[in-house]
Amino acid sequence: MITFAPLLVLFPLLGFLFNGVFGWKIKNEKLLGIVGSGSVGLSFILASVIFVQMLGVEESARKQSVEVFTWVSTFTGSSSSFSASVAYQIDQLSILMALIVTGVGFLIHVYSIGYMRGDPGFWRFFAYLNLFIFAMLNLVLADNFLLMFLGWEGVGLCSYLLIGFWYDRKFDIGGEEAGSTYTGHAGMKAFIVNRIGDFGFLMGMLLIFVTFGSLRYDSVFSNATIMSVGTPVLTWITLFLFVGATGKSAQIPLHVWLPDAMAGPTPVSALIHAATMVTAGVYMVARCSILFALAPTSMLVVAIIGALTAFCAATIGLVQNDIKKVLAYSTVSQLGYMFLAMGVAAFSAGIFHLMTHAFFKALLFLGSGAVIHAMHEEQDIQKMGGLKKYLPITHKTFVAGALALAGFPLLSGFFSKDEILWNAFIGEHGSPLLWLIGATAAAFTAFYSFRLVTLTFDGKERFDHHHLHPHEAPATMYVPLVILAVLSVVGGLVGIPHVSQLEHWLDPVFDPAKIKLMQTEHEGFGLELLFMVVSGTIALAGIWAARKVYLERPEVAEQYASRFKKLYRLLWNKYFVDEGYNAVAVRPIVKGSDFLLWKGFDVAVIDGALDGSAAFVNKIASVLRKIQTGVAQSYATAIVGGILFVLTWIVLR
Amino acid sequence: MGFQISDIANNAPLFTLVATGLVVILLESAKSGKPNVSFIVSLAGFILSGLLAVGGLKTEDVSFGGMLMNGSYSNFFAIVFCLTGSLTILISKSYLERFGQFRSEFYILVLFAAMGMVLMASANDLIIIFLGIELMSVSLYVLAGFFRTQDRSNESALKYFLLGAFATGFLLYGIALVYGSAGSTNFSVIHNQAPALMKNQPLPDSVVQAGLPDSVVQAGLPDSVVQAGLPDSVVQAGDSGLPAGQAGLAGTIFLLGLGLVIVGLAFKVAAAPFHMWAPDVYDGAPTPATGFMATAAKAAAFGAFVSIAFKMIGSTSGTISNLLAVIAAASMILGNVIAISQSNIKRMLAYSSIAHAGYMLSGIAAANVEGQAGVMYYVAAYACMTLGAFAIVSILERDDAANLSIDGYAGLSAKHPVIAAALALFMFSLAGIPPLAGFFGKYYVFLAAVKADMTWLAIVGVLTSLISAYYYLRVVVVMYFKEGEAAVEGRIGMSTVVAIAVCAYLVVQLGVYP
Amino acid sequence: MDLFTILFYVFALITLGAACVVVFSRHIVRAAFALLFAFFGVAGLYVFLLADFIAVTQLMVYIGGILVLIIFGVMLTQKQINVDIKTSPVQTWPAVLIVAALAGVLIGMFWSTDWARMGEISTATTATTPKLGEMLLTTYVLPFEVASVILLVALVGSAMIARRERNT
Repeated sequence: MITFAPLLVLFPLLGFLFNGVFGWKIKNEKLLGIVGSGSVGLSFILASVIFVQMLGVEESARKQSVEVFTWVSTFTGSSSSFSASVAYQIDQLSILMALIVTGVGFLIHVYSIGYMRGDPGFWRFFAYLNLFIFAMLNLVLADNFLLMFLGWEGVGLCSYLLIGFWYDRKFDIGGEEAGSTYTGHAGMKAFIVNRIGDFGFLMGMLLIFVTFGSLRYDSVFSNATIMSVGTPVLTWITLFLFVGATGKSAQIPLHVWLPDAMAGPTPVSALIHAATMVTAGVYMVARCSILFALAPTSMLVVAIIGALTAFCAATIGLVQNDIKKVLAYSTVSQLGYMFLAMGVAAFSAGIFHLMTHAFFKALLFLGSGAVIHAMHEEQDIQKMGGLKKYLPITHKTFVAGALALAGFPLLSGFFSKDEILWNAFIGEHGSPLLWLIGATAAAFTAFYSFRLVTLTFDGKERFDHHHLHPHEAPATMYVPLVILAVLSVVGGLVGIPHVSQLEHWLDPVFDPAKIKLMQTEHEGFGLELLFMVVSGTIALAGIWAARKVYLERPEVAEQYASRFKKLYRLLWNKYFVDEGYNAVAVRPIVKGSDFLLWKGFDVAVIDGALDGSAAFVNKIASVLRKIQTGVAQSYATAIVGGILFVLTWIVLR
Repeated sequence: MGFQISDIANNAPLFTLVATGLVVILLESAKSGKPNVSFIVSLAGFILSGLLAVGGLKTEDVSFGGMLMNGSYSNFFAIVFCLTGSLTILISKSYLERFGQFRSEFYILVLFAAMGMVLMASANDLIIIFLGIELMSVSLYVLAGFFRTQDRSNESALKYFLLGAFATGFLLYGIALVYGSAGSTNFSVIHNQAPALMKNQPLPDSVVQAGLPDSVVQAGLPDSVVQAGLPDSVVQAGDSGLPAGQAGLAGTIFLLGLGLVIVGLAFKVAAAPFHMWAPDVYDGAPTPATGFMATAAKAAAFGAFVSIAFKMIGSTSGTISNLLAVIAAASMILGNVIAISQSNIKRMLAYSSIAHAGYMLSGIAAANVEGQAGVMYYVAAYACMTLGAFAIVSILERDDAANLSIDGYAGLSAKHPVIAAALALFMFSLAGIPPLAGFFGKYYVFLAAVKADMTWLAIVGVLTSLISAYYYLRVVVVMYFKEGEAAVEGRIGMSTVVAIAVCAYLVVQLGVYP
Repeated sequence: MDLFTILFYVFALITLGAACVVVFSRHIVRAAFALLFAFFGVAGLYVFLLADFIAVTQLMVYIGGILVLIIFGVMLTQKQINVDIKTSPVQTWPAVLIVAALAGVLIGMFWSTDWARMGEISTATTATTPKLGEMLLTTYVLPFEVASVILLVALVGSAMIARRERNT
């Protein structure tokens, strides 16, 4: 069955081609929707079959690789030439990722049929979504870095296209420099920030090739195992790769794009900016666990960045009023947890959290989509309230998701987050400080998630009854919600420490790294149990506080806001990171290009015939004069200057 | 020595181009005013020549007594030139018709320019390089000024001519210095001389004994030159004139000559700081001619560049490599940063082409096999995407430079979804987004740079390509995310559409299966 | 002082004198004609260097071609024939610098050359022209032919630029 693995990738591609090529002619939304979701569904079924089959074989046979064709090879044919194949590697980690991507992806596709109904860009939307799934599967199933990078860039591109999907809509970026911007710009921002990350990935990849002479996981990782811990080049490689991961997974300091990315349609936020694409960075770090294990410095950096992101994003989430913004910062924060897990070498725990997070965050986003749908595109939770009467199913599922996110005991988020915190405390690379940051962030998480629930579904109805009649979403929308809710509730059971199998399932992938880290199984089941109790208490306390404040005494929140005005402003403005980037990077570059270089060099030319104002140069005579008195001579001067430089260089070498 | 029949067979692509050019001239003089015929004949000539080049990929040979090198390298470039040439011709038809300048001369000039390019890429002798450059440049000067009634076009041609002649002077001077120090203009001979010349440079004595004229004679090639008396003074100066204290001079002179040759070529590829002509010239010239200049001419200059860097000096000289690396870095930074503030799309593409010259130069600076392969790949990829972009610009251009501003592309996606998609494809490829051709080009050259221990250069390259994403994407954003009227009057020429389709196909094909 | 030396000085004098007239004359036609004598003198000097081919080329190309072109140009630009052109110094300092540098190089060259060994240079007078012709059609046949194509292109190009607009 594994030989059919390429089909997994092929189905979404076919779906994309169908929708993309014929879509604009086909007016039948049902057909488009069925093709779009069906192709992903087929992939999911295939992935499940492969998964089941893998369960049946012994551990060593589970990892296989299928080559489709040789993709790149240098045509010089020298010994050091470089080649890469389109080849897919099926192993425990990649099949798990494939299941998440296709499974959650399928549900979101189905949901989108209802959500996007009547949109003129219906076919475009499904084409992009399928393309995204295709790219994402390439990313997770690739057996070499180059193909992974292709997927990496591909998902970025789809994300960019989908964020700007409603390009004509205004979109509030929030904060003090508020005001509206076009969603197209949000897409552009996402893309450019991602390019910074890609720079890291690309440099890491180049260094990997130079160091190991190959880009295939197999040869790279097996060569890496014989290197010693702390080799400088590995530190560089992993740091570069981590820059790539921070870009894609929205970690500090490159997190700025993700909240803006919420300008896209809600299913996109659910699929790309919560469940799948943003976790690519986590996946990449997990995939390269052996490299990271050999670079303790990088591990520390990863852990610290992860913890900080988890904390800062959670605090920002406390004060936001846009339903999707809250969820966006929550996503950033949860991704921080995953990186924290990676940093303390709890790779399985990180992947486990990735999986549960995919369930409940997709659920929350889709739920928020149903709310927004019902409220006619209103996203401000201050203008909602009391919606549980109108949206019973959405409400129940949303609460389930929020409980899971908050880490309510025995729900999926609880187990995964607890395991991360436990490892942060006890693991080789962990420290009580990391645990403290994580635990505080967990408290905030519980608080903001129930602030969100309470303000949206409970309390007074703060919207305008005369114009709005909220109603439950159609079946294509709420069925996925229910399924995801079930998964959010029970999804954690596969990963209960010491009981379930997930950890051992992934072991073969992470073993080389663990051997390098000389990680021992930690004894002390009692202590772990204690930590579980502590985590549960924190979650419950956060939930209770949020209910208390927003249900019974909403004025308290405002009092606090005015008492800690500065802090509130800081959080409301998201620590002024955007403003900082604008001041430090964006404006100087644009200005510098404009005034310094361009006008400095080409000043005589700008106002010439070039911008279409031909008045300046009317006759050849004047052209001649211009050339003789100015521009061409200065060009020649530049050439002479260059020649002098060249000659001096050679003489003084 | 001299001429053999096999020389013709070896250089079939070259001679096909000449023959086609002559036929078009004759046709034009016989049946004046039938540019359609010239169009078809030229196109056929290019295609035939390209096919012959494909056929010649396998055989490695020298011809004309070592003047030319024929083989995979030269034929690869010949294919690129024939491709860009024929695409230029396709693009030009409707463009020239719209401006009422549909005349045969355009095709004659393109054909001869392509011939010069083929010469440059297959040259094994500095004289051929020089002649190839001249043939190409003279044609391009006229092509730039093809719209005689437009001031912009005239200005463009005149500037190109003046500065081009200026730069050619330095090139020629450099060739003279190289000849003076190495005693030959032939690459193979110089290649043998170069290590001795460079090694002896720091030592104070006995360059001369290391024997310039001797080994020249042994190499057997230009002994008749020596006797012919032309370079008497040079040879004798080398032989007896220089006292021991000045002996190291030969190596320096050789390097200075190389430096000047590099300057001349850097001008042709529009690398900083020899780039200043490019935006003005590109902007003023008729768009198909601009596309031809920006792609084929640049490719040809790189063909010569790679020959000189690899065939002539080998990878022995760190000085030259570092020099090239500095030029490359300067081009990447200047080109990309200035491109950000451009509002005119042709100027933007001009600065972008400067930046791309920088990327390709970093492959040459790396001076290893990967670099050579990378540059070759890059040249082909770059030609396809840039020519495609210019083809689309040519569709949208109106009289008197109207509709060249990037803002004028607003709403293009709504009016002409296919064209907008194609332009977006080219922009993405130029920005270096996988799996398109542009990405692999960059990847190869950066890889080469890293391998040559020039990691800093690769970092500069990656960072600047990051910047470049901004201005390429701005075009996409404007096309897709802004309301506006991007009108295309009348019918879009069928041939242009074919050209765009070919470019788009190649951009994807080269990326997916390089 | 044999005839050889006397002739050399005559040619040198012609060259220098004519060059001075070119530079200092305020009458453009006069300057153009003085240029003719300067070229002629240089051609003579080539002969003394045993470079007979270059000497002939100098006569043919510079005097027969370029100079005639210059004079045509001068004459065709009407109203300028008898006008005294103003020759006021422009960019004096750069010019002085360059001239000084050039002079320095030449004088340095003059002093450092080992004149005593000049006698070793072969003075055998072989006619170089036939050899050159032979080589142009054997070893250098390709450059030779390419050059002809360049001329053809230049011809086509200039014809195109200079031609009157056909329809408009």
